[in-house]
Amino acid sequence: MFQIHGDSMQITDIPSAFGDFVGMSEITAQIILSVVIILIFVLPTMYLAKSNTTLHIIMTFLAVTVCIGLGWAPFWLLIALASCMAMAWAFLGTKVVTGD
Amino acid sequence: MAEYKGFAFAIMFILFFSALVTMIPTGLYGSGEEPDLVTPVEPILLAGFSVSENWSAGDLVETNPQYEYSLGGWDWYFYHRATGSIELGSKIYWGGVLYLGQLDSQEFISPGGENKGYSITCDDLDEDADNGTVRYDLYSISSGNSYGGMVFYWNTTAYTYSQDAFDNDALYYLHGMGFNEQATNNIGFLLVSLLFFQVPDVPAEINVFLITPTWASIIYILWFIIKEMIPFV
Repeated sequence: MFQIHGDSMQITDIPSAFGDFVGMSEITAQIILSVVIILIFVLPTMYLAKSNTTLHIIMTFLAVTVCIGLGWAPFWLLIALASCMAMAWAFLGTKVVTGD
Repeated sequence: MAEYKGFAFAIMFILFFSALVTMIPTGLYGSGEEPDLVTPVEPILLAGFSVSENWSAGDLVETNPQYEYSLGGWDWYFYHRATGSIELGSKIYWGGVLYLGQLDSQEFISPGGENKGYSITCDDLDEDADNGTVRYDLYSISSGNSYGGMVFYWNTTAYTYSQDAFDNDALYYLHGMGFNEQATNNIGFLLVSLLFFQVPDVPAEINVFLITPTWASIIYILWFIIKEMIPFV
């Protein structure tokens, strides 16, 4: 069996190639590369907007979305993030509605 | 008062979670995997596939030549019978959970745009193939929706006709679907699948963690409503 696209590498193949290069499994390579992408997004935001937690959360969400779009992170991670955000907003909304 | 806070929290959590999940674009499943094929085929035949399942004639169950697989959020039965008919159908689940044996058959549309019906034969493959490869577009008989495409291919150097390749377990099949054709493109299906722990490509344990807060909220809301309707509690 052989691949259709011969010698060209797709962006989704980068974790596999990275894992082969350093001698780790593809899943580990996907996690490491996803963390790198997230830190690239989030660290500058944390430095430039130190006290703006909302912006940190937005940038983290965007970074995770990029990793999922690249195929490096599983899709269910986005649903987990949506669940956490929904809980946070529900807490805030409950405070507003009940006045506590 | 705490019960009212809990009720408000549960309502808002369900509303926000549903809204966020419905806003997730379907393209975030990634660019899809490249299928491994035994014989090279023209890349154009695989255009638009983000997920695929491929098997050979040797993978068919002998007693009733069929191959069962899951793709794009549906469960499929593929038949290539000894009588020569080739059919493909997806399982119909009543209420999303109950399978009573019914299949939603697919119509094969040839590269020339001819509707070959729900059953084709090796003669059709030989007629439509170009150098041992042919792709049929699939459309549901019941709904008319597209369910991707099916590629048949064999090595014409070894076998001139597809029937010869089939007899020697050298006929290969590939069913591919694009993003828009997968079940999870339907957000309603995604939410129902989440609630019943049946989201495609998600481990069951992860599915439990994801949906436990939603079920807890639903159960709390029902309990609160019933409690409020009973004046003596």
